[in-house]
Amino acid sequence: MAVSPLVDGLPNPAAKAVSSPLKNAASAQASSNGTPVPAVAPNATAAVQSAALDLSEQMNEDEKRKYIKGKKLGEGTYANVYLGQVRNDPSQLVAIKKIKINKEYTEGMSPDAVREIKHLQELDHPNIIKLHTVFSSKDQNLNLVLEFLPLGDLEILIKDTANVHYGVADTKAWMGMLTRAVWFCHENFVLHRDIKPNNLLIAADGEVKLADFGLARSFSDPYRPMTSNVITRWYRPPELLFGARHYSAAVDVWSVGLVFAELVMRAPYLAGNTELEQIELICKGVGTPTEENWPGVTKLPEYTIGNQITPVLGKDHYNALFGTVGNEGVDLLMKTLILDPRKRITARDMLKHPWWHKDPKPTRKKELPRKSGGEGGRK
Amino acid sequence: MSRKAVTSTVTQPSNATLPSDICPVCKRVRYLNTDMRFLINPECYHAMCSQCVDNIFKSGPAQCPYASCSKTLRLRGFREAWFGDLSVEREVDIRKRVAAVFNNTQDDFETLRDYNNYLQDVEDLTFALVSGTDDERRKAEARLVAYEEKNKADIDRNRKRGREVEAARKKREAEAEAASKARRLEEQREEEEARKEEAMLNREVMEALARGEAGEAAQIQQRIMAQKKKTIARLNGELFPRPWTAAPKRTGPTEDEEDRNKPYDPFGATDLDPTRYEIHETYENSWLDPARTRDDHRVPGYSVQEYVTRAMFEAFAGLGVAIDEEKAGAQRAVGIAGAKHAAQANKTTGIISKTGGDVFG
Repeated sequence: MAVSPLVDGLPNPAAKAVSSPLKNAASAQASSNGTPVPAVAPNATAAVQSAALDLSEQMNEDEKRKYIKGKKLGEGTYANVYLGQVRNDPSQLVAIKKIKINKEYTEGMSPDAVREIKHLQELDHPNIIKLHTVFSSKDQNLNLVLEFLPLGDLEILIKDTANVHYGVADTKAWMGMLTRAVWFCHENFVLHRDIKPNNLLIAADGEVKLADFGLARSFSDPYRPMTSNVITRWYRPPELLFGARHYSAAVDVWSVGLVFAELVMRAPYLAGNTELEQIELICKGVGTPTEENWPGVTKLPEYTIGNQITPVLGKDHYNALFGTVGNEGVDLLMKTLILDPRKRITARDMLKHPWWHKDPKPTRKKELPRKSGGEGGRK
Repeated sequence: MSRKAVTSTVTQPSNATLPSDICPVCKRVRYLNTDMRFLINPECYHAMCSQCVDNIFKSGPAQCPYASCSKTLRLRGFREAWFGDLSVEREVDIRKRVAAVFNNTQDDFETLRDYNNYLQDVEDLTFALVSGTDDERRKAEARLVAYEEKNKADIDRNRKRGREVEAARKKREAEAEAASKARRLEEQREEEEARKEEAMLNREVMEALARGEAGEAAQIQQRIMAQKKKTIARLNGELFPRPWTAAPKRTGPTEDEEDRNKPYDPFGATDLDPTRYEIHETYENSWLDPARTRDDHRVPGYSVQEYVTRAMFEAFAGLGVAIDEEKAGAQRAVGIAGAKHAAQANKTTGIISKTGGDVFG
């Protein structure tokens, strides 16, 4: 015990007795996320096992004490979100996401939390929610300290047709931020796999940030199957609906296209109640996937289409529905909604599309419409 | 301008000005025909009243009624003259026509000298057409037609381009006009508001005075004014900034305007292209071949290129990371931020550290 001087003055000596692998894991996450480690490392390897655990707890405690937990902001399926303050600078607000203990994963952490931490701690971009740190609180609960984004999400803005009015320039600004976020994920080999308007949160300054990396994973190696049961149904691309196990970043692009369509229509473009209905809606609203427009599609494991075949819809169809975004905008939308994922545009090529430079220029973020009647922002 | 009108410019008009009261053909006077209009035909620029034109040419082409003129005119060619001086009218017509044919712009020439020579040529030709002798005019006319014949394609192209430029200019002007109109309205509204506010203050003072006792008039006024002074000062400052009260004026556009005028960068000023290695189109690797050809990979869009890009990235991710520098940087910014900082400083991009393999399938 006396080997490491750091052990002295531990606030909660009793905790030593209940140290568990979970604690170990959580604090290991925290350390890779910026807790000062260096001076300790050689010491820890030399020390006996129990001393190392105490050290990790000490570090966890330090991290935890940096924040004050405030009122509850919301409750999700696998986590509660609280408002938090930085102890040294109470004007700085954060969101603390406390992962609920999941009955399915009693002896470890829920995969959603792991995915979220694993990828968020690696991604640093203005359009992706920032993960400040991670700590575990009593009851071995995992807490994620995230950037506080007070202005709701894009879904709120899209749905509030009575109070929120926006135009092409605003849509373009939001799409720009979304596309940049997705591009950055893909450049760093991360598939988000759950892009939808209510995962696009809005910061106090109007910046849209991609959040909820609970389904994210890095690009798979060849011959290593992935699950096809990802992405909220309305935004799920045909290859996933057909049960593909080896797919690419194109799945996220399809979702981006549907968010684009939804921003323009102010209603989900393809809102199926079941997977079968979703496929049907894609056939009607985009075109029926056939061997002609998507060679090999009939060989996909769950390939099913209705008996009616709609040819891939042309520009006229999209012009009628989305003409407000202009010729180039419709072109971009159509390229994101190409059935064959190999022909679908990539996030990088989306950013190279001429639409961004056409009139009107995207609105500046501070001038973007905001949700009505919301509580005040950070400043 | 139609081909018909072309041949006409060769003739010189005999009478220089448009008649104002008496039609030179039928001698009707404006006194009795108040709605008299004089028309000309660019064949010969001989003016006559609209009734003469109707009478003479309604039933088909006929000779110009002027005794000295032998041109055959058609009803379709007649129009009102824009200029009172018909020689000016004619010159403008000629210039329009020449400009439509010789429609090159400076961009079409390599040097300014070439362009100037070209302009000189065109002007010489125009001058010959406008005020040359018969012989000169005929020659110039022949040159014009020959040039038009020879450079038909170029002329059409330039004309199209000219139309586009013109459309763009019109749009720009309309936008500027709309903006300035909006600004004017806004200013007007603000001024109105300020005036209202001041009037309200005055009225309040008067009412207070009327209510108050006579002896305390000055006091009341002082109190109310002091109370309202701030409001007035604010309004004045906001709505009528005066050079002697306002903050020192900025020169040039404000930061805000600069921000607004900046061109939009879809990539948000981030460049993630690898700087220390190149990604090739294909990599020969027998292990990867099935992933390229097998239906379960190929059809749903699995991208071997994405895999290869990642493999390359991971192979070279450590390049350009200097641990010492990073340690020094860690004092200022820890964790991801620090890593990113180091990454940028060393021109490596994206993720620096990759922790472990994939845990979940």
